[in-house]
Amino acid sequence: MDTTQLLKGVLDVAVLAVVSQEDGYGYDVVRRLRAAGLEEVGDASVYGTLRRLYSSGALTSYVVPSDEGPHRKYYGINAQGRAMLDAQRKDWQSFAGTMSGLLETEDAR
Amino acid sequence: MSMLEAPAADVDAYAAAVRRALADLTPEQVDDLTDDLEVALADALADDHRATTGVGLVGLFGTPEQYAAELRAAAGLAGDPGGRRRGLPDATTRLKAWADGETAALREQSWWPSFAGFMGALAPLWWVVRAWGMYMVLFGIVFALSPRSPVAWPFIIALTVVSVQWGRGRWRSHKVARALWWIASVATVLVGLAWAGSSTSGGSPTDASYAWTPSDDVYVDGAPVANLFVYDADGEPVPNAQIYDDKGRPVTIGAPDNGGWWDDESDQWTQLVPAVSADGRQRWNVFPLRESRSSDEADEPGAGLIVDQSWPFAQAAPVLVPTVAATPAPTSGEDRAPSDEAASSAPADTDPTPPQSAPAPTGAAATP
Repeated sequence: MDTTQLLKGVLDVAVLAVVSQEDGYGYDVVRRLRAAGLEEVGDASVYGTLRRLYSSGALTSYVVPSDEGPHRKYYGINAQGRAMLDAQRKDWQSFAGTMSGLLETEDAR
Repeated sequence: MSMLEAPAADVDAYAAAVRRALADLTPEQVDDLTDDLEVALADALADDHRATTGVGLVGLFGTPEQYAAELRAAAGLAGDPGGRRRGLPDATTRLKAWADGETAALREQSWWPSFAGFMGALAPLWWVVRAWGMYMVLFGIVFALSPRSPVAWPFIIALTVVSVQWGRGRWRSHKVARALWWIASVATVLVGLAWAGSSTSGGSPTDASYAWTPSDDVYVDGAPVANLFVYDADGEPVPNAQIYDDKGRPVTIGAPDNGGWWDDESDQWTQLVPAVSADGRQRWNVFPLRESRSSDEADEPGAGLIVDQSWPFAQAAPVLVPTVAATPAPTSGEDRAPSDEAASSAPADTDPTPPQSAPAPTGAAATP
């Protein structure tokens, strides 16, 4: 199955979940998504998603100056983002349960 | 952090190419999407958990265009090159897609981002050249307005400003600007093609002017001559002189085509009358041509009163002609002149095969 297609549908909630655990900058979010098992996530997709969630008001953003490296733009979740995450988490669990049930039934036959 | 410095040039070139691929968005949107792009790319290259060695940025992310498309799609920004536009832009998108496909192998080379970055740095030069080309086509060819003329300068400056602003992606979000740009581009292409077509049909650009005046006129001082008068070296008039060019073709002045005219002095309809060879062919290369005058335009040339045109001088100044050093001394015109038979055996207006030596009365044809 083409997991990149599946990923497109759930990238928003995945990014919200990662950022809700801890604030992170662009590549940090990519790395944590990969570490969590989403190896095929595209960097640009994550950056675009972060920008879109920020524009829609689900994320906050702030720049952290750095002495040794470049300044980094961090993203954090806010109340609206949390509400979005909760709603999408429920949607996903419901959807995943449905799919699991469906696929198990197919298996049993 | 040491990995951050080494591929910095590649990262910059790649990031620049991504921004160019997003150039149809507003500058604010591009900045918002790519303000820390270099940092993100360097982070990815520096990540020990990814197989980054040897693959380069293109190996890691695909082409800058693919990266840009992914970025814009994830950000939910309209302006996906294939989606929003219609018609002609759609065609250019397909053309671009085709070109992308053709150059895919190149783009995956490790040197491509550097090369693309270098070419990208030349973009402003192209913007100026584009404005110049557009001027040359739209004003230079259509209106024959020389760029040296001060009148042209405002147009050149305006086109340059438009081209550069367009190249910077500044005015593209305006519908009117886009429409104007497409109209100008299409007009430029059409006029350019028409111009190229007329040039190639003429053989070369300098031949183009001859393509518009295919007649056999003889020009003096830019104006076609109405008749020719031959004088010999002593300055004596030579009536009924047959004139050929170096290839033996009869020299005519386009007289058969110009019909006739009302002569104001005589108030008569005037036409030029050719000589006639023994077999009845009209010979328009015998000068001076005589005139036929009649009161009715409908008359055939022969129907009117035949008169001589008056010679410009009763006698021209005698001239000294450089003598030919060795062989054939100038012969008398009669011996070498194309016999009537020889001349009439070939069509008068096409390429006859009359004598190789023109009926030069003296050695005038020989260069000193």
